[in-house]
Amino acid sequence: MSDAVQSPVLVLGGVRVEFGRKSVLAGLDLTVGANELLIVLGATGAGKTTLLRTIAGLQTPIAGTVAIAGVDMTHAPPGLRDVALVFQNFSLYPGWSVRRNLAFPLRAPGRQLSDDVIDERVTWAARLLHIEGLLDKPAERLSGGQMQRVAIGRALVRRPRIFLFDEPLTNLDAKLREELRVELALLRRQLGIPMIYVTHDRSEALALADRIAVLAGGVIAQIGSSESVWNTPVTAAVAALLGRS
Amino acid sequence: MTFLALNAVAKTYADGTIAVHGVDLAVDEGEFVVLLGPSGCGKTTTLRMVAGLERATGGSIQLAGKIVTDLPPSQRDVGFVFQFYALYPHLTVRDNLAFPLEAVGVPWRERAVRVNEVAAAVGVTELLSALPRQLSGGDQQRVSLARALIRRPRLWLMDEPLGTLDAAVRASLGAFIHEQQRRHRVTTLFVTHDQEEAMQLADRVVVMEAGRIRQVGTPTAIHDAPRSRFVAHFVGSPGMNFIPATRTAQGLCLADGRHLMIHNAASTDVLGPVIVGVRPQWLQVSTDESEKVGLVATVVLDEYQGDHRLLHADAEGLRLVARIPATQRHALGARVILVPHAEGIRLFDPHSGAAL
Amino acid sequence: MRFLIIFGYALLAGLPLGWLVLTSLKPVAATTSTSLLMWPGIDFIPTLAAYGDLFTGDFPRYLGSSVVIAVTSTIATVLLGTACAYGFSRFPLAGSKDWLFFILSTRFMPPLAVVAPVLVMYRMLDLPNTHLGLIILYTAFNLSLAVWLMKGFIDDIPRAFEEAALVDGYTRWQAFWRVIVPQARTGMAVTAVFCLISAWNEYGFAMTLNHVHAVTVPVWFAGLQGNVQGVPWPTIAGGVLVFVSPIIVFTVLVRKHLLRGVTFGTVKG
Repeated sequence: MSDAVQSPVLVLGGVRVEFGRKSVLAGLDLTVGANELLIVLGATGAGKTTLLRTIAGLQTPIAGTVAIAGVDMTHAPPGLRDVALVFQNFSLYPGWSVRRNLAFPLRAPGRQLSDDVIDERVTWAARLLHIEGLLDKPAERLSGGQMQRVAIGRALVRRPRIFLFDEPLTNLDAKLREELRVELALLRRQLGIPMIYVTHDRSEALALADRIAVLAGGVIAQIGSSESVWNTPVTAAVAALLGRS
Repeated sequence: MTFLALNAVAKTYADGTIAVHGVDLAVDEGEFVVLLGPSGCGKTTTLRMVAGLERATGGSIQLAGKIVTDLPPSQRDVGFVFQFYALYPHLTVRDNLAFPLEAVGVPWRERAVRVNEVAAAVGVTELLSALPRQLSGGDQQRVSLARALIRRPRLWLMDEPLGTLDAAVRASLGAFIHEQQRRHRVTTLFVTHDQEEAMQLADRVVVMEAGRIRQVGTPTAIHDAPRSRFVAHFVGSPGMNFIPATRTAQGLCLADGRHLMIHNAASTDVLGPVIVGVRPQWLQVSTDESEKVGLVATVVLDEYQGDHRLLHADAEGLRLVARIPATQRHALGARVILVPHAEGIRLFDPHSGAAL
Repeated sequence: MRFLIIFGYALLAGLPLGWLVLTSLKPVAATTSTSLLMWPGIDFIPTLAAYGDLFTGDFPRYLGSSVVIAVTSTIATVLLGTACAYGFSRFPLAGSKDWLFFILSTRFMPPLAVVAPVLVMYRMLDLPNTHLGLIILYTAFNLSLAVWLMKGFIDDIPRAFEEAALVDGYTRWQAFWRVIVPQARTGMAVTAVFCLISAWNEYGFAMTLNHVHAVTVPVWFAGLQGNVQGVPWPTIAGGVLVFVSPIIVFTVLVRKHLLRGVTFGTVKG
């Protein structure tokens, strides 16, 4: 198998998360390489969001380890992990301009960036996402697609070590989803930051993935390239997730 | 026979924004009509005006031969399915289903019979004693469909009922709605932004944009003979490619002097600048440099889709997409020639965007 | 650490209450003693005489007045407030923001500033010394709070719920009762607690308006302190305990609603 990952950025080992008596992640192992885009596919309730939250440090596992760039981060607070999380509902601050929204993560007290650097980063992100023209618009006046671009931009300006996407396009119109999917694919080639991307849209999954990981029963049931997962799904459930029935 | 008729129905909000500009539409009895368009095109507002949840500020709505424009929703005898299910959270599934029957004074004995009947029909019998929050999204929407069905209304209105569900659930529930609609012969008006959904379900599709109807027709007609660039781009996944060209007596000529097509297959005699529309599946990708016609382009993105690939290529700033077999591979940055198939060519006016 | 703080607070809050319990059990003579008499059975002989006095005297009548006035005004406030809030939340009312502000502004002034005009007005309407008078007053006064609180809660209830009921064949009014009210229960419980406490404890208006008939318990307490035979501390202490218990019981009963918070899990969030 070609699944041995070169220079891993993220390594999860035997991660277990339980809510009450319900086991959500049951000893999950996962390795994500530098520069890789990993799609996480799974039915509703399979624990996809929990997995992202565990990586981000918003959820502490009861067992197992989370290592980022070779450092054990299992109990590190989210702020120290240097990962960015983009949700499906675009949590922008209303009343603030797009520029201010984009600059917000950079103005965190610990960063101590000069205004020039902040400006430069904001402009850079805005150009990548084609929102230069919107910088001075208040966030609540944007369309859904524009809001999600800004939300991605807000994660982008920090140049995090890992990008986590939780169904970022789900709340958008089908047409817009198609267009943003293409843009994301082009964007990631320019960035070279590893991404873990949760979705239930098979077009998105197949089109974007370097590898697809199928989450079922609290573990990774199958992992491999788009082609291999599509051509040889290990179970009928995996086939159904890809729309093959 | 026309069952639902909208005559110049318009909606202007108090702040002056116009959501719907005078829409005309006739829906036959038993027909499944889908309102399709991007968000903000007025499709949901139109649906809500038919239900009576929004008051039309112009025009009239006729339902089963009766003008209902100013009737409250309770007197229109319609079933409505909401995007977010809108099941009453404090009532069990059984009570949710019985709720519409109670409104019209059906005796409780008959209520119980009909609840069981409709629950069996949509497959939620085991869930009758559960509360809505204990159900999955798909099951909630099933119950919500049953609730809209139980009064046996003459018109079914659905506001993006599949929008929030997982892809797999969406497909099965879509098929289910279709089957129920056929079986009960309920006239249905269904709103969505997803053109694939519209194509699967509709007898006729109504494409809306900016508060106006752009085209009404069968899914095939909408897909194959779009009347404007907007419809051509919005329908189809991905939408139609557009290439500026000049139509000469010899054929379609590109700016760089190459020909896009030698013979004129199109249905018009207009010569001069045109916009050529061609769907991704009608674009062939060739690496044969001796190809006399077609666009020279560079591959920028290859999207694997399982049973096919979407190849995105750049032809001097013009972004085009071709749908090619999954086995055909092209490296990023490779030079390719995109050759349109004569059958797939559509021409549009470069100014108005109307089909020629 | 956290435990210490909570314990300290509980001690601080519980101390006066404990002292009240002790006082209510003492014979009158023991309450005026200058030494600290703490242990029943050792420092003094506990007696229920104060409670006996309390319930054979006029206290039950005053308590009755308090209950009638506070409960009726609370029910009226919550119902009116919910209905008003629903209107503000759902209908595009001309100048609705100004109206809301106006409603709030009725609380800007200290209530006692309007005692005199209210008294004059009530005299003309024969309302002093009636239950109705105080009910109207408390309802009017608490309504602004109720409208503002309830508007927040109702804004959070998705419109789709009542729209579903409208399409299902219910009128707007029925939809309000059958669909909105059950889901606004948390908000109504919170509002009811605030209104009840406020009406139950109100003293200023009650003292001015109702000193002959329909006298409420706080007014009666105040009257006792001018007693010529000396202040009957055990009776007062017992009365206070009896007086605060309904509020405590009520708050405990609706606690489930208060703490549950507003969760609309069924409309996907």
